[in-house]
Amino acid sequence: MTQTTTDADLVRRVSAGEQDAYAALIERHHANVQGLCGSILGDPTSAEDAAQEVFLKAYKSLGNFQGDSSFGTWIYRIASNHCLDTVRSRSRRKTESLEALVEGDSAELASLFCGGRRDEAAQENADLAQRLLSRLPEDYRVTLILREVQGLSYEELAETMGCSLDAVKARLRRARSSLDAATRHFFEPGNV
Amino acid sequence: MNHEHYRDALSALRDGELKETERRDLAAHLDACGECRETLDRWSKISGALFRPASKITKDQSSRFARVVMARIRQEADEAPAWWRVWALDRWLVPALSAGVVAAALAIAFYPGGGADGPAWDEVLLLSQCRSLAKWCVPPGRANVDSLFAQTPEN
Repeated sequence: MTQTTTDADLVRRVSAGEQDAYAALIERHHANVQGLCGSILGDPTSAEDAAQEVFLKAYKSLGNFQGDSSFGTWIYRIASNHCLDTVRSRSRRKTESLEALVEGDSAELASLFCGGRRDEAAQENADLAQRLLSRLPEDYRVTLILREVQGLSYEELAETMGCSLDAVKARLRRARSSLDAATRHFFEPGNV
Repeated sequence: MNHEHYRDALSALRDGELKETERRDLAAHLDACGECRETLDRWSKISGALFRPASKITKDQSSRFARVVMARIRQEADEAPAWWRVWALDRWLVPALSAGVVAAALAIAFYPGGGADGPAWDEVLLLSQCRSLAKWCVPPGRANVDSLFAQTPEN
């Protein structure tokens, strides 16, 4: 398969029964999908398992792929929905608010924001970061992750999230403002 | 621009999504507004603390991953019994069943069994499963259905 073969061509070939064309699609999008899964789930091991499930779901749903968005944004949507379902099923108990988390884990958050990255605390910091992000509304969190980690443009975000450009801008601004409002005191002079 | 509008623009500036004129306008505001400069700086620090770049995945890793997924796809396809496959149900099974039902109904309706004086006992036994169906199936001119059921042989 040449580099110039587009995703749309590969999808057509899979739909025509050429199963191996799907392997090429997987190789192209594996890194991005697994990266997104890792960012939402906060766990590299779960990320690979989740990425496998995402590609299996996508294969079974290829008949629903209309081609009105790119294959990449379509599979991002499947991945974010799958990972959010996983997160919801893991955490059935009522979770504390962002403000309560900041108050309860103040010392650890100070270390996260101001203490620099120490290798021995890397996993703790990753867990704490995940808990902080999980307090954001899901749409805000996923939009922010797709923007900060995956580097999607506003147009790509709108396609992936199935919302307008204005909604994308609003979610990003509100997510950043929420995190800023809850954590700004860690950056005040004397704390940094 | 009001201050709230600049806050909206800060987010877009961080994402590189401002038009040139908007970027210049915001840059001029930032020169004069320490609060907005500090907000932008905090957002960068928060982002740096919360988000890690995705782990580098090599082409070999992606090839191995693709092989694993394709193996699962083939395994799931092999495990599904052929006669459950949707294409079979759509393409031939339902039409075949429909044709069978019609053929059976026609056979019941036009079965010539029995003599002039009475029905074939196998016909009576078949029809006795459903009296209302029997009324429909027995051709006109034959003995009426009630008399057919009255002639059921003793076991």
